Amino acid sequence: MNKKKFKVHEVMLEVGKFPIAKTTDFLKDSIELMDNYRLGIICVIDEKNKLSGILTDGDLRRNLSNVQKPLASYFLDYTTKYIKRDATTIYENDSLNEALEIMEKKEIWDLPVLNENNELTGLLHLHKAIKKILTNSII
Amino acid sequence: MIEKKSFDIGYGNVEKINIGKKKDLVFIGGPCAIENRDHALKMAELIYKICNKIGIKFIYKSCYDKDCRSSNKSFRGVGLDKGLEILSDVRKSFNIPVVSDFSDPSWAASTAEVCDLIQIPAYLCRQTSILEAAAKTNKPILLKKGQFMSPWNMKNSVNKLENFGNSKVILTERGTFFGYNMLVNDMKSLPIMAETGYPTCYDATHSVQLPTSAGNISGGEREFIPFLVRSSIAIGIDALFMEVHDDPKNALSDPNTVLNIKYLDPILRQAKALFETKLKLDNEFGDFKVE
Repeated sequence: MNKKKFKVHEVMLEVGKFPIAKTTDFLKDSIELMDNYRLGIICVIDEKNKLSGILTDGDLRRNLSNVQKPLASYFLDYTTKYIKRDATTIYENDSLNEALEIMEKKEIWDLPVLNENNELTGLLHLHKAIKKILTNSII
Repeated sequence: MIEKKSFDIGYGNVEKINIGKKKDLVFIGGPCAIENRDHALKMAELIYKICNKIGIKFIYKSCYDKDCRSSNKSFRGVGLDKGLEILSDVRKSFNIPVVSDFSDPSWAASTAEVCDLIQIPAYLCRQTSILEAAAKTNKPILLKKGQFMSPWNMKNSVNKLENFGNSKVILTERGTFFGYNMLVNDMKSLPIMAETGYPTCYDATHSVQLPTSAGNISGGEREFIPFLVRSSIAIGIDALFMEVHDDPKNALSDPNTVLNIKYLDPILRQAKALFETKLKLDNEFGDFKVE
């Protein structure tokens, strides 16, 4: 069987194909964006295009069961208030295998992808990766 | 994190006052309405001397058109042209920044020609056309929180101002409607509005207002002003706002809430002492948060 070694950038979703928020965006807007892209993650970037952190469906679920303030107030919190700042990331030139190993080990669905300047350039989403793998018969 | 913003108020020859760095307490005050030139200058001089003596930065506030009076029989103001002329005289006489509000988008540009700070009235704090007109003057904006607004909803108004290109905003608490003809003071609104990163201000005289409680005019419980001033400063604000008059009973606007100037000195001296204590506490405890 032909086993092609993919790099992360060949499989990742490029900017524009997954939700990205600015540090000043409201949580409500971020949730709507996640809904529009039908993805359970949003990446928050600063003005230099660096990843500030990520927010996932799981984070939202945990927040919702803990938040004591009115929902109207929660929706108008800045997304940055709830992001996970030490998100696991991968570089675009890393191998897909390496990325999949991290995803398996950490039990996560998505990995923000960075370039050598540490700018956000993509998102590796497990389902898309599986599709790529299956259609290219590399397993 | 949302960055803390600070900016200077004042153009030309007037003393530039920084807001946001929390080094000095800023006092914004004056008679609610400009009554006439002599009175405006007299009040400016009286307040200026008190602030100068205590060492508080002073921005003179007075309005040329009170569009929100309960009755159309009440004094509305000296009007745009005359009012701005008087404010300009006050500016030049004492080299201090001045602020006035406007309630019609077409008045924004001329207001900004004279005023160092542009006020958006509480009742109009979410009107897009007003916010747009204010933002486009490029002057710093004193945005009052509507009595009907939650503090978090003010973030939408801030967003509008930013989208129209202005990021010099001061968010001001002035009481919240509690049923009819009654305001309550939810001091939580100050840290909530501060989440925007913008400086905050507490309006201690409008906060004691009982809106239109006297049928065709607003009442007020000004005995609570000193208590509210103390609590707002203890919470942490950048500016204190109070309307001041030398003869409240005969004031042409807000006679039931304006502070008699005879109380201004002790109130501001307490405010300054508390402000300095608060700064010391901030230095000692840092950004202390309970989760």
